[in-house]
Amino acid sequence: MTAPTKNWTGALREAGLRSLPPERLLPETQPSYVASWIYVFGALTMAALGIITATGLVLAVMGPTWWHHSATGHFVNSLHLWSVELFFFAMVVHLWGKFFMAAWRGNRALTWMTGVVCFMASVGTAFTGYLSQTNFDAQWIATQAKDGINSTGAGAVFNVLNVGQMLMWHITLLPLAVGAIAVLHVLLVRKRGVVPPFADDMTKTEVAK
Amino acid sequence: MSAIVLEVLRYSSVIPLDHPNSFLTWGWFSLSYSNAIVVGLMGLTFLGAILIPFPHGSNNRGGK
Repeated sequence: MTAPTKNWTGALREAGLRSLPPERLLPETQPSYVASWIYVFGALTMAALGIITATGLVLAVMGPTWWHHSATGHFVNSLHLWSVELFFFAMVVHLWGKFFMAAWRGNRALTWMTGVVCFMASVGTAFTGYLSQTNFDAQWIATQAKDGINSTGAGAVFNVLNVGQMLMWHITLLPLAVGAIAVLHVLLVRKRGVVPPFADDMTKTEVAK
Repeated sequence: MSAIVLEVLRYSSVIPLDHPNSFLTWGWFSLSYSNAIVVGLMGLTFLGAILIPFPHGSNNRGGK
């Protein structure tokens, strides 16, 4: 009996299952060292990203000036803003925690680097969000930022004075980048496991495995 | 009505919000008081996350 011929979808499925079997993708338990508040902030960051995405979708449907003339729009806009504040607050605490844990240990360099890139993409997304407020604050930020960005040469393709361009970056390109990198980051955490404390790492008792 | 709400918000704010921001300045370094407060709160949260014991209410942890 000959082995069945695999096509690319079958190969992709098997590679995915090998890399991330279901029990690793959606585990029911975590190592005992995860029972610490410092491990909560990554999940809190993702929860805030969920609220940002949901409120951003509503704002995208209703338009960038909705919040100026509607109490509901103002409320949704405020939810969007304050979930961003919570997102960055939690992400910075998460970053400090992982930095002092040296969370790149144990073949987790890619997990660390996707977090770094996600943080930088988030800063860009927040920046273009401030430029999309359609008010004097947005104009002030744009005029302050243009000289710095032009001095790098990026102003040739990234014009902060172009409201339409900044809005499109804010609602399409950058959220897609942040979302995709965040998903990849979480999948890598699932694949490699949560980084163990130094003592556990040194005694090779990685209970995550 | 909105004037009353604005007055309540004005007097319920931790810091007055109807004037330009104040800054901490050391030479070239400049940081607004509001940003300094947020950074301080993040530092306190970080310390709390390390020092405050995590509740052990479930037997779903430490199983492995």
